[in-house]
Amino acid sequence: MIPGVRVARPATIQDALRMRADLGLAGRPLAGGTDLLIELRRRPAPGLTLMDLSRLDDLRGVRAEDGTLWVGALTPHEDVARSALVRERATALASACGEVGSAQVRNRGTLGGNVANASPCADGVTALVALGAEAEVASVRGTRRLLVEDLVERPYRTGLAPDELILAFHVPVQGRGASAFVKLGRRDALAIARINAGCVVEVAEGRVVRCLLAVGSVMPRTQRVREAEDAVTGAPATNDTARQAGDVVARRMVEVSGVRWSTPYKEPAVRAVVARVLLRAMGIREGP
Amino acid sequence: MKQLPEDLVSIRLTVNGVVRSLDVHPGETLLEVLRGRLRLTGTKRGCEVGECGACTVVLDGRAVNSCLVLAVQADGAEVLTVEGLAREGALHPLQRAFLEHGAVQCGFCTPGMLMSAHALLAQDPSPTPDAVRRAIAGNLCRCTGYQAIVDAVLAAAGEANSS
Repeated sequence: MIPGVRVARPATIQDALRMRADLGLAGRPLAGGTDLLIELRRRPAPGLTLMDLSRLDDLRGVRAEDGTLWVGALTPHEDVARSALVRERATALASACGEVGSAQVRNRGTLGGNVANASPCADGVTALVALGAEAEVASVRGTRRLLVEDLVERPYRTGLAPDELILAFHVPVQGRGASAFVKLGRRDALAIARINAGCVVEVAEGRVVRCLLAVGSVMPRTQRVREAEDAVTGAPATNDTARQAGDVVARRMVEVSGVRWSTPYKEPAVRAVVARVLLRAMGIREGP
Repeated sequence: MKQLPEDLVSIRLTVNGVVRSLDVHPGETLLEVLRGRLRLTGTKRGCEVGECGACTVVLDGRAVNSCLVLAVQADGAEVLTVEGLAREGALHPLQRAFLEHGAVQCGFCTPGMLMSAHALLAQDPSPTPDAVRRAIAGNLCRCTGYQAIVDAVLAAAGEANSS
């Protein structure tokens, strides 16, 4: 039992936006519920109205648009992971969604919920940031688009206004397999990421011509690491280059987050995860 | 779905092939409705944070943690629980395989395991051992060590495919 809550079930996006505007902070959008229901059991919020979004079928699915993939905010992780379009053209996102929680969680939890919850270790967020994806955000006041990297401001906080809803993501398409995602958990099954990384790498004539790299659980928020992207761009697509990028990210982590109790573990682990994700996108086998 | 006095909500869902109309509290979970109101206690209450999988049921063809679904969210849905597996007193092939392979020890995880396996085989009738492991990764078992369960699911799949 989630104590003291009310539930509203808007039937259309317009209804949902009106309801969101009326309720303001007295309402919380409920997508898959795999984070929110746990939170509300731990910290009850009597009087809260849950806006169950599950009737908004228009916000589910994946389709190709001009140069991007449209991914509805209510698409469950499992559907994102299985989508042939996402697997081919935004591989990092398919991998990330396929590694979220368990089958049960992937069947309910949604990509929009993953972003709105804004956990610092959210696999979906890292992949979306690495791919340079934009979120389409709406309210009764209108619609705006912003980078997912800018929407997720800090742990468990987004830049969403109290009357706004995430409707969809626009993910720039990449060449087949040109993006990758790697997660390091305490074990393989049902583990929350200790560190995750996503990247896009384009290689021409043996050299990296374009690189986007994002890491989660490493800095206070999931973000791209431009210093590492710059270090890789123009360099040969090799094990050494990937390792150098890992060094840059580990250094940035200590600069930004300081030396913490976890640093002796995280430094070498971050190096390895970053190198691995870059090699995977380059299509190169990890060297010794 | 209409709002009733005292904030009760009317829902209608199909459970194991039977249509059920119920007035539920907005904060009531599908798990609580199945166990408390419909007395379908095969579905177990475990961790209530989506980690143990003891409460797994099949909702519109997908394995879900029923502790993390509000009953109102299941309005209009089709739910299959462990009680819906046997037909006319005959165990489902998955249930038989679990017994034959020693995949049931204390039994607490078994209903959830069966439902995860059932959802898997509906989607992938010939799964690899890895696919089985992946499908039951959200179901904890502290007795069997999992191997017997994986063997049972593969055996049930093999049997279904050869018949």
